[in-house]
Amino acid sequence: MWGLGSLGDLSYRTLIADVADEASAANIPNIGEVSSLFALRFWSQYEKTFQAALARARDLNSKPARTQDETNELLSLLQALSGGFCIGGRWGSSRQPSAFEILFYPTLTTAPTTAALASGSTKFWGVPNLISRLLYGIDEQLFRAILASGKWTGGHKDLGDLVSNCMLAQPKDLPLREAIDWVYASIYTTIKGLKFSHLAPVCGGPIEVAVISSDRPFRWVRHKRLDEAIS
Amino acid sequence: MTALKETNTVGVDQIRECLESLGEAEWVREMIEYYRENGRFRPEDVRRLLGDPTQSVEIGPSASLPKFFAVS
Repeated sequence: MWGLGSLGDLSYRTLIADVADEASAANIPNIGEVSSLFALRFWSQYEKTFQAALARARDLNSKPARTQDETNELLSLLQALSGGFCIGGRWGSSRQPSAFEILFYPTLTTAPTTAALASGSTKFWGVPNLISRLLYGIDEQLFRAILASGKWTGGHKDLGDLVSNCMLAQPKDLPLREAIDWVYASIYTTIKGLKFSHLAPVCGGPIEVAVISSDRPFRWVRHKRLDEAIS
Repeated sequence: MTALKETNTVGVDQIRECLESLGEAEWVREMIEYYRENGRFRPEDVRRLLGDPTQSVEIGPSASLPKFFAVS
């Protein structure tokens, strides 16, 4: 999960456990339907918890013209109340792994839909700018700035082609332990990139990694101990 | 070909010098100053620093760079 940090009195831990119980009781057959159930339960709580703020964001968003203060307020609401979940693994007796993306934001007016991730693809959410700079050598802001500079004579696809030629290729079909190292390194890079720059240090703490393979159930690779805060 | 020739006339040293001479942007100085005074970032700075929380970076066979950098 990324973005919005809590749902008022209901913790994500409880929400996830409730949905897992409900999915088990209803004999839901696959991870896609589990994701859809999670999206519905999340949305119900999200709308209830942030009713006033969501109404304000939708009102500001619908205005044909906004003052600078209103624009800043809308930006704050969008940043604070947006986020998403990636639900992946396998469910029940199926050995077929899959993953689904759920995105939410204040101007959405119905429960978010789930989108299946393509096998072999990797997605980074939460702080996309840093990993974008690392892998593509550019982020969305700079990309737009070049296009708007008046010094670029091509279109956005031409610029995309130029960036593609210089991006860092990523490994495919890694062995399990190498894949774990790669995931860990990607998160670690984001944390340290934010920490040792002018960027806001919004990522941090111990990196927790788990793995779900087709032959074995959920396993923690790294997980902080329950007495972590004491020592 | 003209553009290619012009690009090739810029030496590695010149490129390095140009990059090394880059200073901190004005908005970064303002942002740091604002943070020192208020203990928080301005909404527009947070957006600029972290990006859109509903966006993701995708790598792999189905990833589309033009789609990721889609200009609306």
